[in-house]
Amino acid sequence: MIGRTTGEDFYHLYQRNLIKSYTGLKIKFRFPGSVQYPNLPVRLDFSSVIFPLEGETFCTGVEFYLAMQLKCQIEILGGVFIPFKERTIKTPKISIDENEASFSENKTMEKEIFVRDPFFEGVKNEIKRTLISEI
Amino acid sequence: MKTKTKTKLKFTSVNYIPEHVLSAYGLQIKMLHPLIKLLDFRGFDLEEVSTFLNLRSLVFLVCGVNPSSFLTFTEIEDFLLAVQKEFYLFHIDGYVNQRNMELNKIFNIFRSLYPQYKDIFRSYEIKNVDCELEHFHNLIILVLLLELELYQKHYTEVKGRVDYCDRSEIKEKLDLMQIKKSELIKSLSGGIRVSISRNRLILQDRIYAGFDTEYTNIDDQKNRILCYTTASTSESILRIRSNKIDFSLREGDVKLPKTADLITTGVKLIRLLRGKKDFELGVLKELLDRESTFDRLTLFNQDIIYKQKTFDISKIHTSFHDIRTDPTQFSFYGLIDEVLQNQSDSNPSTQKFRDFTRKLNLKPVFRSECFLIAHFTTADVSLFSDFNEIKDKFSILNKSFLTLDRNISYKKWKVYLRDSSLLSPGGMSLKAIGNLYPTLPLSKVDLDQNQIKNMDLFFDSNKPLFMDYAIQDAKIVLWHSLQVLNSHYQLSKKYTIPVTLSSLASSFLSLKLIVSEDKESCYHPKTKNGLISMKDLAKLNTPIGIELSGDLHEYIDYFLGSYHGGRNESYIYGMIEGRFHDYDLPGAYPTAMSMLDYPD
Repeated sequence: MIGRTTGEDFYHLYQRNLIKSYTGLKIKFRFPGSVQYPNLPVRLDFSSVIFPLEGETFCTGVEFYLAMQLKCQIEILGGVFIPFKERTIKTPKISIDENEASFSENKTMEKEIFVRDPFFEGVKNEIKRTLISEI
Repeated sequence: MKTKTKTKLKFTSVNYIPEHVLSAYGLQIKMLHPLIKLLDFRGFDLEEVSTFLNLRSLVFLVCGVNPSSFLTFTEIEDFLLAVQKEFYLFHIDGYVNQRNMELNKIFNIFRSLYPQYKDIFRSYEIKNVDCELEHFHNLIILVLLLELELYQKHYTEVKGRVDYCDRSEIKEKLDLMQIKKSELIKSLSGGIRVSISRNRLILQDRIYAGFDTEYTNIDDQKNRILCYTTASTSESILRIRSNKIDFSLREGDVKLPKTADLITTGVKLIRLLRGKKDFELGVLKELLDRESTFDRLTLFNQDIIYKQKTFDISKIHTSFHDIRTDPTQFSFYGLIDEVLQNQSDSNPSTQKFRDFTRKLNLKPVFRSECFLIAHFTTADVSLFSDFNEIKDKFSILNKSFLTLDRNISYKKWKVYLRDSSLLSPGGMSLKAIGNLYPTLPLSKVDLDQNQIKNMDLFFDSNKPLFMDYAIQDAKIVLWHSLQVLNSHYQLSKKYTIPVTLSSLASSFLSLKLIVSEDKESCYHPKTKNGLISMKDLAKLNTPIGIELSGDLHEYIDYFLGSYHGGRNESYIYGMIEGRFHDYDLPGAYPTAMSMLDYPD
């Protein structure tokens, strides 16, 4: 858990580790007027999200990282920082059938496709999509 | 290789059991009740049976009753009361305390059997052992149930041999026994209760029917139905349910209790007394395995099903109904009736299955299921003349009508509605689905735009081609669903038509992950205490959820709040002349998520 702190302190503490983590923050922010496309979303009502120069919002670590690159002044009101696990843990290797391209350890999908039964191939691709979203 | 470790009644901590009980322990096999000796133990693991019966004797001795004596009705009642009194002794003070629990003679049997739980009542980590205590309770209830079943069986036989006066007296006592039995069964955990009474043999009649409608547009809002077509086939399935017992006490429990083997034996013995014929089911399996005309499929829950080898496309029954004069003929129940009538001839496999079961004097439970499938059901289902009456029975998923959790009952049939557009990769068109099977006569009849726009004129001008076109659609839908059915088995070990291809993928994933990693499910991530799932937000945001979820309730708000959906932005406003580009990243979220790793 992260208590109230300045964006600068938090940024210097974790830096690029923010990208390799699950981070959720509640922040107050102000971008310099020169920024044309601010990246922090603020929910306006039930259906609208805007990207203002100044406001209060929830954001992820990656969004925070990019905002800091854009010289944004940030005050962190609270949040959570959970780093990724060390790479010693192996991702379960799942194979759809013996000849099927399987998910490799770094979870990138192999491109090779075995053309045998077009329907079955379609099903397998659907499974791959679901696997990625489920994992 | 058999890896199961057997529970052995070994007293390592002698302090808990009174000395006279221990001295009697060596005699227990000889002290078996005469009624037990009469049982037919074919198909049983005798070592397991003797372990269970040893435990039975021990419970008798703890309650001061001789395990080998023949009890009268009153004595049986007294014995049950004695066990229950001893068992629930800790209730006497009105509250549960450590001393009372440690004095409890029946729980002492458990503590002596499993020395690792010697200090169970001193532990504050009760959630780790409550499963063991609960299942030990189940075990003792099974011992009592076995006793009641034995006497009930015996006295039912006696009843047939005695005078009329005695008979009514015995009947009264038997009724009392039945009440006691019901009370005991109620106190068992759900999974064990079900496995005692479950009928393991099911004969299923299944009908699969694709249907399609052709209509013409009257104006922007109204259509006029011209005809409907069906293509149907049937199969007969003999399902032999697994004798595996579900030991889970709450959702997601996968750990087996130490007493699992003893409970399994107890359940088997009670089933034997109830005439469930588990041994004969084993014989039936052997007989059916030898029969080359059937396929044997083993499902994810270890159920075994036998069915005909494959579906034959030439045996699909098709029908065409011109309903231009009376569109009300197209109704949901009318459609089912039509399909049932087309498949009214008994499947030859059904007769074969019946012959086999009759040979072994087995009585299967009969089930009838009907799967109705259409492509983009929204169009077809909304044209039912009884749509307003039945629409509440359907669910809507991805703009399609179908049945999700509950089926629709009609006569003896359970009816399921499926949409083949949800069963095809990327919501393919019917033509594309037909082209998936190039070797089969399933390509869609090609029509020109004029014919498609003016179906009624096309119908009048070339009826045979129109009929071919309409029937082919229903056939494609049916055949494709049957392929999905087979794939569902191959990938997920389930033999039913799934609702969507994604649900098939999801069950495939859950099967792979649960089976692979030490039999523990890592599919639904739990919090560290294993009680509240991150997926179950409704449960998390309750007083109980917040207290039991560890720190999860503190974290979750930050992550939920950070989710804003995709950014969609137009960089220039107003009228644009000339060429403009619309950039889209399909599957951006899943792709980014695939680069994430497990949280530490």
